[in-house]
Amino acid sequence: MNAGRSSNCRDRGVSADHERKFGAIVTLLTHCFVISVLAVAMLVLGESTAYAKVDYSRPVNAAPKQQDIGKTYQVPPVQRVPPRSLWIYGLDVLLLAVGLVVAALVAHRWRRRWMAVAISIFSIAYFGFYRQGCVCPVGSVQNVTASFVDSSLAVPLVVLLFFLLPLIAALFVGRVFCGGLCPLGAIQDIVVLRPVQLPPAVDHWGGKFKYVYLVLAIWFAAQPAATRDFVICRFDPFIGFFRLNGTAWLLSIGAAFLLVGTVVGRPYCRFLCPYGGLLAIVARFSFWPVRITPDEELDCGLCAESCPFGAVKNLRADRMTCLACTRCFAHCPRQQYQWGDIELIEVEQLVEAHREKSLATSKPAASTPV
Amino acid sequence: MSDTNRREFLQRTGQAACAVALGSTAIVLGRRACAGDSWAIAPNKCINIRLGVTGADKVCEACATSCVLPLSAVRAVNEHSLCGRCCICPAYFDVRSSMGPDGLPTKKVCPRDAIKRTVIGDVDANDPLNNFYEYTIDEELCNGCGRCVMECKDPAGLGSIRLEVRYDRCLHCNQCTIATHCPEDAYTRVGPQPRPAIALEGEAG
Amino acid sequence: MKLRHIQTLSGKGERPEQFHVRLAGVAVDSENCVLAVGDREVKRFNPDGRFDTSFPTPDAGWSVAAEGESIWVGMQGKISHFDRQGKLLNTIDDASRLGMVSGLAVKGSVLVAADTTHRTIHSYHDAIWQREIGREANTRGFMIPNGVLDISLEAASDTFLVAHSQKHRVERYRLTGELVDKFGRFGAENPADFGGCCNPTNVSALPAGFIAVSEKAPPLLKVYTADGKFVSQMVGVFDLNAKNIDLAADRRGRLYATDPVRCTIEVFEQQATST
Repeated sequence: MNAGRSSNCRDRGVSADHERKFGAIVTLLTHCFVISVLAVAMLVLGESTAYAKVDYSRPVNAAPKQQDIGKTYQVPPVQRVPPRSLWIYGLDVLLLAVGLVVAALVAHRWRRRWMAVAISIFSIAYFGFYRQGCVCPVGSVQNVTASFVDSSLAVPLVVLLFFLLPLIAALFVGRVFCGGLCPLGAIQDIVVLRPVQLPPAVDHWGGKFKYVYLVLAIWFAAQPAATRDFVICRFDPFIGFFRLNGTAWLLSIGAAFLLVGTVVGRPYCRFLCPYGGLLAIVARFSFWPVRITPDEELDCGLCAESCPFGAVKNLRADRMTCLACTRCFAHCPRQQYQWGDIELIEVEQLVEAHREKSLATSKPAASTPV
Repeated sequence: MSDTNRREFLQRTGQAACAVALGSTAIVLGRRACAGDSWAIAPNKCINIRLGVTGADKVCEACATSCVLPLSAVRAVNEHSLCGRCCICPAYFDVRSSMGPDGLPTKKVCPRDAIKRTVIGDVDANDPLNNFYEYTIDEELCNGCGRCVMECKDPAGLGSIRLEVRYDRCLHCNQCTIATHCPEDAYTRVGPQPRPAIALEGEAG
Repeated sequence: MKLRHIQTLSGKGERPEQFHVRLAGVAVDSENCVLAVGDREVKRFNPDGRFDTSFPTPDAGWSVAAEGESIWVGMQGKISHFDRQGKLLNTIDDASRLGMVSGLAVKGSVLVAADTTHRTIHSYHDAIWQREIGREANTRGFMIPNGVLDISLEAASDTFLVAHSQKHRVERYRLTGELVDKFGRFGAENPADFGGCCNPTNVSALPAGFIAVSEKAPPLLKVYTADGKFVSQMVGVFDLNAKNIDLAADRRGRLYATDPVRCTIEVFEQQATST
């Protein structure tokens, strides 16, 4: 079993180099530690806002006193809502962090689709409808950009953590944030009904749009304060559903996305999401990318058709485009065997049958031009 | 260098680059990150609250119209300890409208009828002008348009009504649209635990 | 009869005739000199408007009145008595009873002081408290959300006028305390009525049987006959945010009105009209 696990990579020499890998992980863990210490320090210290005194004279106080008004009149308390407590701020970050860990476990260990669906539903309910899509990591790209450009602009710690945590997760375990924790992804994920495979070229070149959008969003967010614009938030197609309001044209674009999304899996995530672009770049170098098979790689190709997002390339989950939705796992005969759904002998049969079938279909295809 | 080694090297370099980028972002921005994201309206900057501009016709409605919520996270609050409890409250009645048979103006200032007027204390049934009235603002109706704030302030009124942020409704968006649209930069981020609005008076925010 | 704006005195600034931050009240003495109280001093202007002199008051003054050789200044909890040269003669220190004195009317040994804090009027005789005035007519005291209660002496008839702002009327009392009559009501369309939340804010008796009142939001002056018939109004001279415009009239028929925002004293002349 262990031998099988370590042999999943095609280049056995690479995976054997545990020591160097360990060193890199230690470095990263140190980074994470620094980040979290910094975060805690910020939360504890709070924010010291400098207020400058300016001239403001309140008119003469001529309010009648309680005894003037008479009877047992009591001046009522002023309606006032206490600010959101730090704990509720912390809850958002905590739920995101826990969600990322759970999503990572689902994508790498538990590997059950219903768990990913549960995460999606939670995300739609909490981050979507309850928090109404704010704060979201997708938009935080702009906060971070603006804060970098304008040194007077402090980025709220919550936004900074929302920006960093999914990226850190991507560096370690792939785009598990996209899997279901992102409310925008989750709402598209649950409408994927009859996905069709797009031609690889469409996937490839269409996927470039998100980088263009990312550059545009950074460009607009980097403008001076007067002309700064957060285009990702402004043109968010799904936020209207979560808030149950919004302009008609944005709502209809959102509806169109969802409608198209029933056959073309997650069009916004694949072709437009700027944060997805950023996550893809980081996930390109992830330590433990999502693997379709739980142990031994059979190169059978049974999973090839299972991905609605065109992320299975060369019989592997593509690091950059895999959204960790866990759909493909159930198609892997090794996984089915591990779950006890089939016997070991059936694995062989399945693989053999698929090979014959694909040979049969590819032969006439290859002979057509002749 | 073999193909495998080169790929391995690229992978390591990429990982290190990503780690450095994320780490330095965290350190650079984390240093000046603010813990919370509460917003408050600086009374001396807000056109509707600050002294000088008067008249509901000059009201700035940015708080009511800019918020992403259907009912804005900004509402008007009457600071009862400062309220004159007038019979003909200029923030409640449109004092320019024609007078009804009861000797009171016929129109109200609030377009959403969110202000409630109740007679309080020892009531003089014969002379309404000899009574005190309490004005409370219905949070569920008020959208923070600021008309009453404009009318209540000096010189017409005593400036007891202010605009405040409903922290429970505020979504703490990545970008606050009210702050973007505020013409006077009065809508400012004040940290996690802002002091009561009255304490902000006289401060640049 | 109409009012015509002819002159502006003082202002906000550092010059001797100017006020630093605050101008509260105005009065005219027997020689038609203008007395203005603000900051912590009283400034006197000659009848032609030139600055004459100034003398300090022990506290921030809120009202001023003059009679013969005496000048009275109302402050928080006390009323000071000066002579023409600005020498402090004596002080009625009655902090337990007096709040902010925002209006004064003096005739002979009788002194009537409007108390904004307690929304009542006190009468003194030879600096000894006599009674509260207006409690019978206004059971809950004077309703003044504008924060100032202003009175004005009608010397000829031993009466004084009160601007009762929330009730939108001018009340006339005898110096002995009885309510004589009252006029005015709320209204927005007829200029004879008092508009807004609490108007008129200040009142002054003019010679020749007229009464001038000031309103706020928008600031304006109105002239009524002694029995409350609307005569004319004057708009547009004051800062739009001016309120509690104190009034005083001299014997020549000039009316002095403070602009508390600009710290100026606006001088108006009465012009007879054919009607």
